[in-house]
Amino acid sequence: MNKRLLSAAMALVLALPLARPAPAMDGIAVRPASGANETAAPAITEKDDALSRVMWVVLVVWLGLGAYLFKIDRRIARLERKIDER
Amino acid sequence: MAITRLVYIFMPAAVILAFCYAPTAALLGETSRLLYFHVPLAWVSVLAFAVSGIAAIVFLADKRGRFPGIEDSFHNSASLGTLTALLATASGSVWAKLMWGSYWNWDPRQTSIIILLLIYSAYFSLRSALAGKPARGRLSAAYLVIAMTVMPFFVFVVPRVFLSLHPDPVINPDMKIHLETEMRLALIVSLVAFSLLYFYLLELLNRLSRIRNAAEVSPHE
Amino acid sequence: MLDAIAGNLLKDFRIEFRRRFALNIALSFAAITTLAVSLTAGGVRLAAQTQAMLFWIILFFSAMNGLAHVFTREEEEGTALFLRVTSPAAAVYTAKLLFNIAVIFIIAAVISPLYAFFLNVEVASPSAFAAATCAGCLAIASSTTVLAAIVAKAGSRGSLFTIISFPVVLPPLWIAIGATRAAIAGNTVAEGVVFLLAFSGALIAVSYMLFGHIWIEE
Repeated sequence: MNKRLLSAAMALVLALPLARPAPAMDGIAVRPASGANETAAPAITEKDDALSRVMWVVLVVWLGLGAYLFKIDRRIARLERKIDER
Repeated sequence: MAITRLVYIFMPAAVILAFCYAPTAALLGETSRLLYFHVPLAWVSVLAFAVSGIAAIVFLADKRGRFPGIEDSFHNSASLGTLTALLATASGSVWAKLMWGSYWNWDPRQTSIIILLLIYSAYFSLRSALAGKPARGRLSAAYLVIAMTVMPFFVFVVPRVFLSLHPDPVINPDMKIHLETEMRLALIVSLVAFSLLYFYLLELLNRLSRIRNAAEVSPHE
Repeated sequence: MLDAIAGNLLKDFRIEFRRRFALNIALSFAAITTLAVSLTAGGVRLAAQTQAMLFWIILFFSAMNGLAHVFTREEEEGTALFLRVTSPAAAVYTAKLLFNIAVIFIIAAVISPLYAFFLNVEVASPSAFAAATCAGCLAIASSTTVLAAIVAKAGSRGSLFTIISFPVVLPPLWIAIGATRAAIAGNTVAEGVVFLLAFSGALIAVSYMLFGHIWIEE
């Protein structure tokens, strides 16, 4: 039980610092965009790139977590069957 | 409780919606995407507190043992609530650093979540002090009920004490978000996903406690 | 029922007069902390907010030593079992609650003049100050009595009582500090006093419902 809780916590905490580069990049990207349109185009692609990277990281973290949870669910079901049989 | 399995669909959907579908909020920039993770975590921590309080009341009122697993269930809910409250505090303070310039600044919501954490830490201290005693479940349930009685009073107290200390512009970016339709949809999906995750984890923990109890009764297994 | 309450209360007071444990400890603690604050302040006039804050912190921590004692004494001396047999739970709770209220009122009655004397506090409206202090003490006593019963079952660890009662006592403490500051400055305290009384009422009602579960052993 503790191990699972711990790993869930670890995964979510790891995801937090990873989510930070996006806003940092945004700070450079959006301000000139509001002032002048011609400088905006490269900045926005760069921003989207970072954003999708962050999204993939979060998705992968969730998929790992989900697979882990699913495995635990199966194991608990097996144990329950064993106990009910007795 | 097969419905909690929907978390496997809702969670990736929430992540994708949060990053691709939802527009960025004016004034907040890309940090607003933290909204779709921070708000659900805070919501789940309150939900877990309410669930454990109600389960504690049911456990105390239930004299004839109609709900056999409820003693473990309020404890499990409280531990999940502690986890989510910690995560909500962590994500919130990262956001606060980005928006307001410091990790901690006694905003009313930060104050209420720190109080929730205080209650949880008191609960776990009590729980560990009572280890091995037969009255452990009853006493910790009673403490949770008292803590839940106190909670409405905080709703009255906290804004009164701290709004006066804070200059308004500090809070405004948080308080005056105008949610657009897309943002609201992403937020709702994410709220549902996190609530499902909470109920799913709670169910798993409850089943685990049941197995542990069964194994303790017959040690030859 | 009334007889049982009166009997229990009388018994508690008699034991307290014989030993003077709870009050002695609490009053010495209060005197020491007040003197320490006064010494370290070095005669500087503190602001009303600071004075109210320090007053309630001293009151809270010195009361914590005495309030848990009513129940831990019963468990330590093994008299809890007889009490369970001879009187109904509600009577026990009422007697302990009244005793605790009396204890904290005595502590407050000693601390307030001491504090005003050593720290140079000039209270603008003494009646408001007294009302705020009484209401705050009532709120603290009514919310901690039931917690004292829980702690006594856990084996009378002193710091555990402070830890578990702190989140519960936090809202009345906050409001009481605000009201006391208002009283020192000469403003109205009615709202804070009403809040404190409402808080005490709610906690006492919940405690009555819970006390049976805490006190009775299976």
